[in-house]
Parts: sequence; structure tokens; C-alpha cells
Amino acid sequence: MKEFLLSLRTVWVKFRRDKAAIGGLIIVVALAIAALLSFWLAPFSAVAAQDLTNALQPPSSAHWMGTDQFGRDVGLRILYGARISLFVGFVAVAIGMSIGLLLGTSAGYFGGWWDTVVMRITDIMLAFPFLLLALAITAALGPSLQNALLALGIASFPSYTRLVRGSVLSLREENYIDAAKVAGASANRIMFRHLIPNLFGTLIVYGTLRVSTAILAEAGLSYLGLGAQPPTPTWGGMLSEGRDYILFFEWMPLFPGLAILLTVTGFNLLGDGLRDALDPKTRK
Amino acid sequence: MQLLLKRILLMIPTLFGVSVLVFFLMAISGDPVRSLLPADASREQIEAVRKELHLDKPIYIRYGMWLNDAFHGNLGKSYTGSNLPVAPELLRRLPATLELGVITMFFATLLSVLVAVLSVRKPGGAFDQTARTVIFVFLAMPGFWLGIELIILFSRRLGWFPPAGQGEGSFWANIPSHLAHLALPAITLGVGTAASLCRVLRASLLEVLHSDFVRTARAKGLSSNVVLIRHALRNALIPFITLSGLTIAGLLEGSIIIESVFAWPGIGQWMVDAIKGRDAPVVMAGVLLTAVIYSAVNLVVDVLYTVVDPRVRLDGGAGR
Repeated sequence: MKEFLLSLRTVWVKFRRDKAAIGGLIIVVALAIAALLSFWLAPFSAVAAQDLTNALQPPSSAHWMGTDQFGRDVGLRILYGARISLFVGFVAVAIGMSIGLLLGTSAGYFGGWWDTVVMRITDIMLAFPFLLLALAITAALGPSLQNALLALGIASFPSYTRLVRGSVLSLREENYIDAAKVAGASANRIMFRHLIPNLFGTLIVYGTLRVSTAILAEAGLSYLGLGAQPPTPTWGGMLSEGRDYILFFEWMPLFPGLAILLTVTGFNLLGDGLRDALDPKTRK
Repeated sequence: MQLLLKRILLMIPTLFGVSVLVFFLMAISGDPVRSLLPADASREQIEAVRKELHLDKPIYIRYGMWLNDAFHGNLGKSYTGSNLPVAPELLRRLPATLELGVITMFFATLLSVLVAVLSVRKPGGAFDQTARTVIFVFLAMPGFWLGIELIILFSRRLGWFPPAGQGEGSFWANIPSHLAHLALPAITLGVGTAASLCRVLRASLLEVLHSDFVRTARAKGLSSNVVLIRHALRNALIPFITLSGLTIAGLLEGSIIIESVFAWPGIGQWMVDAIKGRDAPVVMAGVLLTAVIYSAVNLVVDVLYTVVDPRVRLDGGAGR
């Protein structure tokens, strides 16, 4: 435990010097706070309430980001959307990572027919683009937030499986694994106590970067009308409505787009920073 | 040559798996009959359509029938709207998607090589710093948002380019109109692509510039431009080729949404409509075509490796 805390400290010391990474951390923390605040500031009743006399207003002191075609406050809807985007980002990564971790570790450790089966399935699922797979799964399950989450999780597990299996294949040859085997440790114990903890660094970095991918993909699904259904505000859905109104009102797509851009930038910066900090080879 | 054949043969089980997976997904997505017939259709009508579409048979038999038809070039009929046969429609739409893809790839490659070469002339300099920031922003930008904002700026405000559509007739018959329509979707798809290409090319150029043969070339007294273009760029192309392969795959993915944004009459837009309408035959055809292109691109990339770098062999073994 003490060693673990010490290594965490060295990572933090390295991370702290990286200005871009700290910037990413600040963005992500600020978004998390905004998402939490949205439960008080932007309750569902407020983001769904229509006020047609104030429709399509440009930004003003009353509505900082303007209003949409139903007179709803765009700022509040973006705040609510932050909750959804972050939720989808984290949960989709958690689903994909859990499945990938289980399949990848077992395939890499046991090898044999199980490995062949798992890798064949992975190859098939990687044989077409991630977004297309997610689209097909969402279409099969029906459009909703839960199904979009599930689809993004399922569509992403093959890439985790491949990453984990590769790492396990090299870790398997390490001396301490042989030592654990000689000491009589069971396969489960070796996988969960020795192999998986050694993958944490890799998975944290990859997972952080995949949160970006998931948020972008969720925005894409929502843009196509396959994510959370109206009147629930999502950034992708707001962009899609904005696309319909560009002839009359140019403000609408601006802020949801900026929100996605900022969020994805934050997670990318954080992921890159974590990679540099966790990699013993990079020194600044 | 034998290995190439083996690789091509290995694509068959993968594509077979893809078709099974998607067929199953579309089968659980629900009964298409409800959307095909008016709400007041009689029981007999419903039964008749179910029989016509073989929906009364078990799923494995339906898959077998689909596979048999597919081998004979018949991809079925669309469930929605016009009830058109899928295969001819696919072929009719393919050129539009290819047109967009090829122009985008050309634009993205040109842009990324230019920016990368200018960046490494003075690493850490003003141009390099700016380029890196801009690249980072484009990597985080959703393409469909960029597309919308480009329409607002270049089509609505400035009126330079049309906001949607493909232009009249075929590409060669009416090049100016096609290029004008291509401008915005190609830029939208291209800058994101160029950003990821540029990042890799810059890194690999920097690595090559530190190697011995570049130092030798400099010591011979060659100008820095000659060294950069003739010696460094050529050797930095290997990781670039891998990424170009992935990029074509990314373009396929990107074009799914971007075609919808710009009402581009290609396969992407068709697929999105089909997925939303649960139009199984169209989805099957589109996904399979995508998977074929995807696998073929990966294969071509592996072959190109051996051409660019004779040290790499397809079997990964030592030379004979």
C-alpha cells in the first residue's frame, strides 16, 4: 500500500508540471461540477418548459446563450446536456472496459480455443467502423438513452479486448507470474490479483481518451435522432435542431458545438497528460 | 503472392461473421411489416406480406435464403418507400460516396504533408506551436458541427458555396458545379482527417531527422529542403501509410453523418435513413460493403508496407 502511494506521488509530481494536462484536469473537474449543479439549476421541468413568445432569441442578459425554437433557455439545456454527456462517456467506457477486461485477460491467459473464439469475434466486430456498429445496435434495440449507452459499450469492447489481451500476453511471461503459479495460486487469483492490477495504468490512459470517443459518438447518435429522445436536451440533439434552423437563426448550433469541443478537448488533454506521467520513459 | 491469397481468403470468414451479426441485429429490431402496411391493414394482408418476405420462416432459414440471393447478386428489396431493389441503388449511390472520399483524401493528404513539413523546419517555433494547437482543436471537434458552422459562414453569409447536394450530372460532365458542391463537405471531413495524419507525420519526420543518414546527407552539403523532401519525408511515410489506411476507414465512418449534414446523395445518408427506418436489406448491404472496403484497405496497407519498406514481409519472417 505504501509503495502504491509513493508511486502515485511520483506520477502526480510529473503530472503537475504538465500545463496542458492540468488544463485538461481543470476542464474535466469544472464539467463534473457543472453536471452536478445542473440537478439544482436545470431541473427537467425548467429545460422542457416552452415559452413561444421568447423563441429564437440571440444571447442576452436574461438568456446568456439565447433561446431555441420553443423559447427554451439554451444555457440551461447545455448544462443539462453536460450531465447526459458525462454520464454516457463514463458509463459507456465502464461497460466496454469491463467486458474487454474479462474477455481479454481470459483469452490472453488461457490461450487455446477460447483465445481463438474471442479473437475471431473481436476481428468481426472490428471489421466495420465503430460508429456504424453502434448505429446498428441502437437501431436494433430502439432509440433511447439507455440503448445508446449499451450500444456504445458493446461497440467499444473489441478494442479493449485486443489491448488487454496484448498486454496480458507479454505479462504472462514475467517471473512473478511463474512464481505465483509455483506457489499454487489459482488461475482466478493470478488474473485478478496479478495481471489485472498491472493493467491499470494502460487502462486509465486508454479509458480517459475513450471517454472523448464515447462523448463524440453519443453526440453523433443524438444528432441522428438515435440517442435520448426529445424533450430531453442532448448536445447532439440540440445541434440537429440547430441544423434545421440555420436559415433563420444562426446562433442555435454554436453553443452546443462549443460544449462538445471543450469537453472532448478536456478529456484528450487529461488522457495525454496521464500517459506522459504514467510512462516511466518520458521525462520532462 | 501465396500469402496475399491467404490473406484474401481469411477475409471470407470475417465477412461471413459480419453478415450473421448484422442479420441477427436487424431481426431482433422488430417486424418490418407494421411500417410497410397502412395501420388499418387486414390480418390477411399482414400474413400475405409476412409470407412474401419469408418472415414466417425461422431466422436461420431466412439467413440462408439471404446468403443464397446475395451470392447471385440479389440483395433484396428495400422495405420502405419505393420498394426499390437494393443492389442497383447501392451501385447508383456508390460513385457519390467515392467522389467525396477521394477528393477528401487528396485534400487531407496534401494539407497534412504541407503542414508537417513546414512544422519540422523549426520544431517548437511559432508555426509549429500554432499548428499543434489548431490540430488539437480539430481532433476534438465533432465533424457535423464544423459542417453546420461552415454552411453558416460560407454558404449563408458569404454565398461562396452551395449548402447541400451534389451538383448536376456526372462529375466529369460538370466539374465546376461538382467541385463547388464538394468544397464544404470535403473540408469538413478533410480537416479532421488532416489533423490526425499531420500529428503522426510530424512525429515520424522528427524521428527520421535525427537519424544518421540525414546527418550524412547534411554533411554532404545538401540544402535543408532537399534533405527534408528527398531523404526524410520518404522514410517518414511508413507510419503515415498505416494511418492513411485507418483514415480511409475513418472517412467511411465520418461520411455516415457528414453526408446527412450536406444532403450528399451517397451511401452514408442512405444507411442512416435505413437504420432509422429499420430497413434490414439496405442496412445489410451497406454494412457489408463497408466491411469489404475496410478489410480491403487494411490488406492494401499491408502490401504497401512491403513496397515502401523492403525490410517488411507479409509473413513477418526473415528473408529467404
